[in-house]
Parts: sequence; structure tokens; C-alpha cells
Amino acid sequence: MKRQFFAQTSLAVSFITAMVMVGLEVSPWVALFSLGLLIWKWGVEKFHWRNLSRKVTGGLSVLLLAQILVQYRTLIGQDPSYTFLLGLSALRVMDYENERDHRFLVLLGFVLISIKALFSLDIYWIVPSGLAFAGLWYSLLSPELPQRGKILLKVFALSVPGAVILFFAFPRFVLPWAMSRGEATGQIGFSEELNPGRVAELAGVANMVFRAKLSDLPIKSSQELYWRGSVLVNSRGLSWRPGMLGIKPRNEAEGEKPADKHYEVALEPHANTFLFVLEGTEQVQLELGNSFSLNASVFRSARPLMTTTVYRGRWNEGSIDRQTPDEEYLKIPELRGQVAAWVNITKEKHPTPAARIEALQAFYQENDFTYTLNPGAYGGVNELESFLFHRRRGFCEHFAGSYATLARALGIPARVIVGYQGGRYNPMGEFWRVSQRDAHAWVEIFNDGRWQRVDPTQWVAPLRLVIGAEDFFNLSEEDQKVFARDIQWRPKAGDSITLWDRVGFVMDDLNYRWTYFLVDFDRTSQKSFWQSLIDLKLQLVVGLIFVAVLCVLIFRSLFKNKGLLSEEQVLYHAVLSWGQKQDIFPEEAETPLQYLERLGKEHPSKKAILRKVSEYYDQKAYAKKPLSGEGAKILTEWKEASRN
Amino acid sequence: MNTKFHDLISEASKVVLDKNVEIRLAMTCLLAGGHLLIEDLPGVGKTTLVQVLGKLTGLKTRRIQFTIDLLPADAIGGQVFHPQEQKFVFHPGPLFSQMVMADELNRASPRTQSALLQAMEEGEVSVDGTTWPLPKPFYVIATQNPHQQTGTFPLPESQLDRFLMSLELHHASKETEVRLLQGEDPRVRLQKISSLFTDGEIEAALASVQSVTVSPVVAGYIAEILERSRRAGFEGAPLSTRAGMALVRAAKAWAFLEGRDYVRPDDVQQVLVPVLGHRLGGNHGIKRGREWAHALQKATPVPV
Repeated sequence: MKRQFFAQTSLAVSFITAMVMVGLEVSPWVALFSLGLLIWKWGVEKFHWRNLSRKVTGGLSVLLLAQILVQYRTLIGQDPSYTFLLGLSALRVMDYENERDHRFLVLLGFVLISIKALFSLDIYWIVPSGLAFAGLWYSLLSPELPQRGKILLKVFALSVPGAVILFFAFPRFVLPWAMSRGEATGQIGFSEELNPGRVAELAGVANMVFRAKLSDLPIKSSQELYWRGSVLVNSRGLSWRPGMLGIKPRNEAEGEKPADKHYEVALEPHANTFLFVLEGTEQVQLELGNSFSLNASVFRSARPLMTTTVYRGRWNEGSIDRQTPDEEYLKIPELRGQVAAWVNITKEKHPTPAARIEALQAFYQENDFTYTLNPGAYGGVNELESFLFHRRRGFCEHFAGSYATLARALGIPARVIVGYQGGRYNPMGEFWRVSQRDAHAWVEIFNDGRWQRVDPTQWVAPLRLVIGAEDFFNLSEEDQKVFARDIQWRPKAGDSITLWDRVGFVMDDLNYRWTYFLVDFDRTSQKSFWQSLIDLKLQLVVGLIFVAVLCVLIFRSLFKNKGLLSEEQVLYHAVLSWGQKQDIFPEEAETPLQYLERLGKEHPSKKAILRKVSEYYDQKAYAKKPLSGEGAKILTEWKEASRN
Repeated sequence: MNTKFHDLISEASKVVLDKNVEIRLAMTCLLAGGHLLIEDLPGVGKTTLVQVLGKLTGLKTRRIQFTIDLLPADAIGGQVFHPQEQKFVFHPGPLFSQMVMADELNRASPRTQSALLQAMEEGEVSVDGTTWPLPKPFYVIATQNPHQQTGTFPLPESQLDRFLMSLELHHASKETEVRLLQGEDPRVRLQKISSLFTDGEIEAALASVQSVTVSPVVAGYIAEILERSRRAGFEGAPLSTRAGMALVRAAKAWAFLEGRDYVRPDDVQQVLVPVLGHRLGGNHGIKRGREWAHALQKATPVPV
């Protein structure tokens, strides 16, 4: 009797859910390939299409490997292996026909769900993951069992204490090799270069990048939030490249000053090592793993941030970067045409750096620049001239890039900072939510012996900074142009928080707490938890014992009868599972007694013991004779008999 | 006690050849205190069956041939004026017997049918304000011509429900017919047999059937059958609770015949088609009903 995959509803639904969850993360081609296979399997079962032969499935798996190799250029790493696993799972479904395949698929389903957890800890995934997990479990229970739902509930209820204990007691490892993804970009596509165009691409997607809780910080307006990600020091005119920054020497004297304040950031997974920090951050402490600080107040994680990462920043209002720049910070490509002319004239007109900075600001303020995400492409050797003097259309990267290059040309050391600006405040959880749309670029110049922030975008489109990127990009392009310089104007939608916004805030807050709780419970928290136990905080111990006793009591009242199965049912199921292994399945509407008799006929050596089972079952289930204890005896006898 | 019933069944099958199962079911119906409906063509042994059962059980047996002009009084009896005593005296009709064969019930007018069926249900009849109890046990075996033959008044569903079981007798097989044609006339053999039971024994058996126990597993099985008959997509008429109770009664009687004092799901399966056939069929006829009953049995898993 062949089994059908799609006839096993709970298995099919759960397994496909697990596949979809992983499929969303990996190569779309392989996801489509898996989908195609599933549809084919459905056709095989429903319309008797031809099943794929071993040769074809073998060929397909080779093709799958080839596709992965082409896409990732490697077979090592998280993404390629998960992609491969997904493809293989679909191929395995094609072979589904018996009990063994069923068990294998359940196991595979568990693996797929666990993999999803590695990608994302979002609370949204808990629901489908949990349902798929329960469904897989459910499909393992024999359909003849009564009260399958209750049995499942019992299994899950039993597993809860175990899970809680493991959560608190399982040692936390940080394996440096465990989290390497094959690809160079992660979920948040932030790259270490400034090619105008990148930010515009990012601004199109509203993906969340990180959430930040500025508990003690006095910052109240999104305008003051400049999240520094990376510093670019190599000017190519309009575009910029990163350079060597060098590791910041450890300052031993730097202790905790009383004025220090802290903030916390929960960063979504990405493939890089950037740690986005507020201006004025002195030190960053990663919850898991190590971080190090580079010159120019840039912070990096020691390993790629493949999972949601939580870190704390130490912030000091008066913190100033006073490191004197070298000549690197004055290098620019050769200037041409009108740019060179303008630089020469300005240099002659304004001898002091202060005057030159003012002139530079005036240049952006007085000329008619347009802030737009669709400026068209700039390229070639004259791109700087074309941007500054002819088209004058661009976004933050163009302004930052050109400003920094001009500043260097005027003899002022400058560098470009890429990161995020602003964010959306969630009043429910009191944290800031920074999304891809908040991606921003600005400039720092060295003046008066310290590095100062200059944001040319502020002069061209102040509204972008005032109302935040999210609302700004929601405006129509016309409105963006008209209102960009008018900071008095506010879009109407921003004035009031709608119910929908509120729901969004609550969900986001819930998700934040969940992520934070799970990720935050690291080695340190674990240690302190156990320390507090060892310290015999009597109250805590007594409280825990009380809760445990309460749980046991509730549990007992939930499942009053000792077992959900009575003795004769246990006995019959033992025989049934043996019979099924001998390929003797109960027929339609066959009663247990009839089945046992048939089994005895097919296996005469077991006839005597089967008759005993049958008699016991009859007396116990139908005649209601109180034969307690005897069932266990017969069960042992049966187990012995069925072994040989 | 039930060895006597086994003797009865084997004796009866010597006269009515090749009808073991039907005889057994007819006895089950008697023991369950229900009434039996037999639907089939004339000449397949219905009358012989009833006569044999009547003889062997020692119950007083009468036969009423139903025709279109039969009046209720013809079956029940009526007040007859006695000139000497100058008063009306009730003369009981053929219905006042322990085993009544109502032949071709669906030929009678609905009025007569309903009079009979009411008597079956209540175990008594009222004539001119006086209630006359029917004898005990009271067992009606009605026969009817196949559904929708000309000149019949089909029994409405509510009245079909009064019968505990329905049977089909079918034609005898070729071998049986050869034996029948060669051998003694059943009517002659009928003369030779005598009752196996003494007065009151059948009634005692009826009482002990009542004490057969039904475990929760079996009751759950029957409830599941009822529930499945009510699901959308099932073709037959949905079963009532009364149908479920009928099933229990019949299964109890079957278990009693098997010599047990508790019911197994196997017993339920044995009586399921005869008990549910005419109830599921409704106005589609008993034949379709039996098919649906069969399908229902196949579709309902036996609880473990």
C-alpha cells in the first residue's frame, strides 16, 4: 500500500510551510525549482502523471548543485548549503511512498524549521514555525490513536519545562565558523563604498535595519540622530572609496566617566561588520563576540553579523574626535574645467579656512540644487563639473561626495561618513526604528583642531532631515521638489498617528522585546542567573519551587487519567505497529478482534499469544471487566513473542 | 438458554433452506422486541419462514393478507352485537396474536397501514374508547412488494422507522433450488416440527437481552456511525437518535444469541445493514438504503 504525500494533510501542510519559510531566504531559482517539483508530485498523485525516474531525480540534483555553484560560486557556507538542502527536500518529497519516507520527511522538516530560526528570530516566524512543528509531530502519531490532539498537547506541555531549563542552562558557545554565509551581502544591503546610486537603491526599500533604545540620552529629535556606519577617505571626485583607518590605540586612562550615558541597538543580520553608532560614541560593547574601534570613531564587530546582534554604546555628549589628519585627507583627483576655476577663485578670495567653509556653504545654498532620488547617472571624468555646475540634481551622496572633494581642494581635511540619519520613534516601546530608507551620507571636516559634522543635504533639502526619510520619500516627486527647502511644511499624514500606525508600533515593540530577550540572554546573563541561584537568593529559589509545584498541579488536573490510553489500547497498538511492519494493515471497518484473528492466521507462530491479546482486549474494552495489571503482563509476553 | 435458540435456527434452516443469516436476523429482531419488514418478490419463502418461526417458538401465529380494501377493523377486530345478551362484545381480530404476519403491507390503504403500525408501536389497540392490550411478546413480520410496484402505497419514512429491521430474502441459489425441487414439500415438513420452547421462555429471553451491557467504546462507535450519516456529502437520509437506539437493541440481541452478555463492535456490524437499510433509504427504497448502510459501515472506523 503506497502512501500519498498530499493525502497526509498535516505532514504536507507543515512540510511545505517549512520549505516556504526557508525558500524565502535562499535562491529564488531553487525555490521555484522546489515548487515545481511539489506541483509535479501533486500531479503524480492526483492525475497519475508519470513519476520521475531515479535517473531524472539524480540529474536534477546535479543540476541543483550546478545552479548553486553558478549563483554563489562556492558550495561552502550557509546560503549554498541551505539552498541545497531545500532543493534536496523537494526531491525527497518526490520519493515519498512509505512509513520510512514519512519519518525522514518529518526529520527534514524539523531541520528546515531550525534553519529558519538561524536566519530570523522575528516573532512573526514563531507562529508558522510553531504550527509547522506541531503539524509534523501530529503526522507522526498513528491515525488509529484516539485523541491525537490531546496527545500532542501533552507532548508539548511536557516539553515546555525542558525547553525552559535548556534555555537557562544550556551553555552559550560562540563558534567563529558557525555563522559564515557565502554571500557578500546580507539582509541589509549596506556596502562599504559610496557610489551614488547605492543609497537611492536602499531608499527604495523600507526594510528595518536596527532598532535603538536611547534610554538615557538627551536626544529627542530625529534631526540630531546621525548613525555613523563607515568612513570613506579616498576621493574619486563625486564618488568615494574606503581607506585604511587603523585600529584605535587603547586608551587605558579612559574609564567610565560619570557623565557617560548608554544606548542599546538591536541590529538585524547583515553580512558586514559595521556597527552603527551615534556621533559621540566612545565605546561599543557587543553582547556576543568582540568588537574593536578604529580611528575616526568607527566601530566594527570581529565577525560578520549574521544573526540579530545586540550592542551597547557608551555615549558622551562632549566626546570629540581630535585626531589630527594626515595628508591622506587632502588627496583629491585632478580637478577640471569650471570646478578647478571655481576652486582657484575661491582660494584667492578667501584666505582663511573659516571663510572658505562659509563660501562652500554659500555655494550649495545659493545655487539652485535639486534634491531627488532620480538624478540620472553621472559618469566620466567631468562628472563633478556636470553635477556642480550643470545638472545640479542629486541626493545626499552627491552632495556629501562633492562637498568633501571641494573642501579638500580648498585645503580643508574632509571625509565622507555613510550611515543612517533619523529614524522613526515608536512611542509604545520608546525606541527608534531605523530602516533602509534612512540611509544617508554626510561629511566631516577638520576645523579648529577637531572633526565637525557638515551635512550639505541640510541646505538643499532640510525637509528630508526634519520629517525623516520615511515621510519624505512618501511624498510625490513634485512635492519633494516644492517643499524640500520649506521646513515649515509638514505632510498631513505625519500629524496624527493612525490606528494602523499604532498597531504597527505595538507589533514592532513586541518583536523588539522578543528579539532582545532571546538574543540578550547570553553568557553574561546566564552566568548572573546561575550566580544568583548559587548565592542562595532564598526568595528566588522558593519562588521557583512554588512555580514548579503549581505547574505540576495544573498539569495533573489537565490530564487527570494517568495515561490517555488504557491498558488494552496500549497493548493493541503494540500489536498493530508490529502488524504494520509485517505489511498487514487493518482493513476498512475491521474491528480490532477481526484484525487480531487475521494476524494470527497469517502468522501461526503468534496465534496463541494473539488469542490471549484478543481475549484480554475483548474482556477489557467491551465486557468492562476490571482486569488491571494483567495488560502489562500480556504486553511483556507479546513483546517477547514478537521479537523472534 | 441460547443453545435452544441455536437449535431453533438449525431446525428452521432445515425447512427454509439456505437462509441461515436471515433466520438468525429474524430471531434477533424478535429478541430485541422489534418488528421485521421483509421486502421481496412473492415466492421466495417469506411465508414459510414466518410459519417455521411461529411453530418453533410456539408463539400463536396469524397471518393477515393486506389488500387495498382491507379496513382497520378487519385486522384489529370490532364490536359485534350479541342479540341474546343485548350488547356489543369486542371480537379481537387476527392482530391479537403473538406473531403476526402482515402480508403485502404496502397494498393496504394508508389508513389501515397506520392502524397496524400504531398497534405495533404502542402494544395495544383502542376500540370505541376501550383499550385492549396486545399479547406478549408481540412480533410483527410485515412483507412488502418491491418499491414502486404498481398498486402499492409506499410506507412513509416515519412509519418505516417503526420496524427494527428490514430484510431481503432473494431467490434461492441453483443448488438449493435443486434440493428443494427434489425433496419434500416444505409445507409437509412444516407439519412435522413442534415447538422448542415452553410458555414464558421467549419472554424471559427478551428480558435478559435487556441486561446485555454496552461499553462506552461500542456506544461511541454507534454515535460515530450516526454522526457520519449526518455529514454533508453522505447520500442517505440522516439517522435519528432512535435509529441509534434501534441499533443498540439489535446488537444486544445479536450478542445474546452469541451467548455473550456484552456487545462487541462486531455485533453492531452484523445487524447494521438490516437495522439501518430502510431508515437510510427513505423514499429511494430499501435496496438503495442497504447499499448506503454498507458504505456507511465501511466508512466508519472501528474505535480502538
